[in-house]
Amino acid sequence: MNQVINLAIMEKGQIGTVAGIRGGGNLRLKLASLGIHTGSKVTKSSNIFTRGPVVIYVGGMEIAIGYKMACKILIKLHPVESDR
Amino acid sequence: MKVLLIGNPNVGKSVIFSRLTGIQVVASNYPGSTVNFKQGFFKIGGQKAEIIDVPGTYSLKPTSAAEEVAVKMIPEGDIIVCVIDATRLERSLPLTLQLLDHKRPMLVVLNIWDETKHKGIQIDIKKLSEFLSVPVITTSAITGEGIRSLVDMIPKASVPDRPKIKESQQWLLIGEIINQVQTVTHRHHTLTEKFQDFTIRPFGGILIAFLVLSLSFFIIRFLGEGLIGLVFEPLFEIVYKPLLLDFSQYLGGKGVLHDILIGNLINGDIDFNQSFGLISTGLFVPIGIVFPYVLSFYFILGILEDYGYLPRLAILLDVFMHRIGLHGYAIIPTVLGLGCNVPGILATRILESKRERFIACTLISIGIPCASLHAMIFGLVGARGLKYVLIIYVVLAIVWICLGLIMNMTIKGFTPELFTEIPPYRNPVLTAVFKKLWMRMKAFLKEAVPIVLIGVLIINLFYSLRIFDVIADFFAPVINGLMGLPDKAVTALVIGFLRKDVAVGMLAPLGLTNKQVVIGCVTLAMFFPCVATFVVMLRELGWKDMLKASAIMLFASVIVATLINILWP
Repeated sequence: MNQVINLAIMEKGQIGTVAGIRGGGNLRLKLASLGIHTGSKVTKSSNIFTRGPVVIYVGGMEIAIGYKMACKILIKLHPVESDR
Repeated sequence: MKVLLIGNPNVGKSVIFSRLTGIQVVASNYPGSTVNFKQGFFKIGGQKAEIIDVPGTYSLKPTSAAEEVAVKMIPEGDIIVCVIDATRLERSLPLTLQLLDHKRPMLVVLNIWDETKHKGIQIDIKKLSEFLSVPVITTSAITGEGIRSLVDMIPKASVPDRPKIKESQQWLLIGEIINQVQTVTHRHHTLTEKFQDFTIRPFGGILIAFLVLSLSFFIIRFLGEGLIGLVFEPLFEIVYKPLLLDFSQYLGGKGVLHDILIGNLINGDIDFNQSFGLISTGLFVPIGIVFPYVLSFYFILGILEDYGYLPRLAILLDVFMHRIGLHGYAIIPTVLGLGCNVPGILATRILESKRERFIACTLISIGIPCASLHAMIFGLVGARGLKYVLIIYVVLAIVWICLGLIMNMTIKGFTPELFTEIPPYRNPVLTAVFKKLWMRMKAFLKEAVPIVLIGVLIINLFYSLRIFDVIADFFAPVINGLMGLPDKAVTALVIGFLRKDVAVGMLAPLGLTNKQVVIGCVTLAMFFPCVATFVVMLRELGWKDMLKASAIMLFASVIVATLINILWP
């Protein structure tokens, strides 16, 4: 049911779980070193301009990720708590 | 015994290191402030032990030059002290687990312990120690809390005896540890956190960045000018000059020794800007003009660094920096370069690719004047009108951007994406800020003053041996024909190889027009790094790239100087 989108188009304030990373071992390794791996919970904090870095919270820290790299991170959005 | 301090970037390893050894190290609130290892000694129970402050790394599979240094060190350590930021336990555990696999005697330190209370974080130390199978202790290095028990515990470090963790299991295990060891009491966002968010919103961020940078500029200028006007100038003019004049008379007012030490008397008086003797201008330039500016610059920089502002600037500028072939984080070496190019060039180690480092180093040495140069430009050119100072800076900024664009287009490769953690804002601890300032000033006096003195000595020797005349004749077509400077200006350019501040000072007695002064300063800023920067660049880039960078600098400076010469009515 839950939507899978990439991190770049995720909206500010949304919460989700990393569903996958489109990229090679190097990228995975790099992301994992800051705690971004399949299964980690992320909260989107901000976008700097339209194609600028993306800022997220993960594992209690704030991380900035380049736009293209953010596009490669797939996120399964958590259901919004407010009912509609 | 060799002890290694290892941990993620920005967890306070350097602060622990200086607490243990008494060696002062520049530490700041951003990842990557230590790019090379530092070595020191301390005593455990009467015995001397060696301790090494290893650059921060997130994993033992390195992704940057600074991290590589870290990984290479591990086999050399007898005891590993793994330093963790207690407020960010989760992010530290991957490295901790990887270190455990090396099966060396190990000790885990939860640093920044004092802040866990404010953040509502509780960590069960005993349980964590059981999970990791090595001792765990807590410290707050910046206040010194827990350092003594760290010293006592180091000999008790134990070899971990837990089975190797498969990579696929790693995150599950970390999740389990966090669940069982850490409880976070939820609380409202503090004002700092709200501000923290605001400074990386595009609109709020740019606004704040503009405010922060212009405020910094004004404070630096205000402090610098204030120190010069109230302290240093009176000191030289009222206290030092009469002594020098007596000495001058004692020497008979002329002669070789007099000219070298005191220089030319101008209307029977010493002019600190123009006399150019070893103990007149040679001391006045580094201490009377440059020192106050360097002091105020590093004071403000220290506060910005420790507060944690610089990484946010990096994120805001990322989009722009990508156009000149760098990513946002390159702004940190650049800002450091505004103080002195040498630490700026060294800090480019936090950049991942060789291409990026080449572009960053070249741009810093060509378009970023150091504090010494700023001071001289403001001192000498500012007296003719701030307009001319502004022209110099606008020209340098344009050069910096254009060269970046060109290098980005012509150098093969691509710019890696920005990927960095953003440290939380921390209130700067004033004693730490002053300690860092003191260290940097000591380094400045130790390195700058001797080179300035050597520079002035060479000037005097060259003058008396008429070597400058030969050089001036040789370069006249370029200096005079293209750049519109008098032949004599070549002396300043030659000395520019040694130190830029003295070189700008040498323009003063030449009686240049405003236009010529602007051209002279721009050329001096661009055409070549000073000797200290040159040596560091050569070491960091290798001679091939250094040759390329030097060629770019020489060409660019001649072209820019010629353009100003032609375009200025």
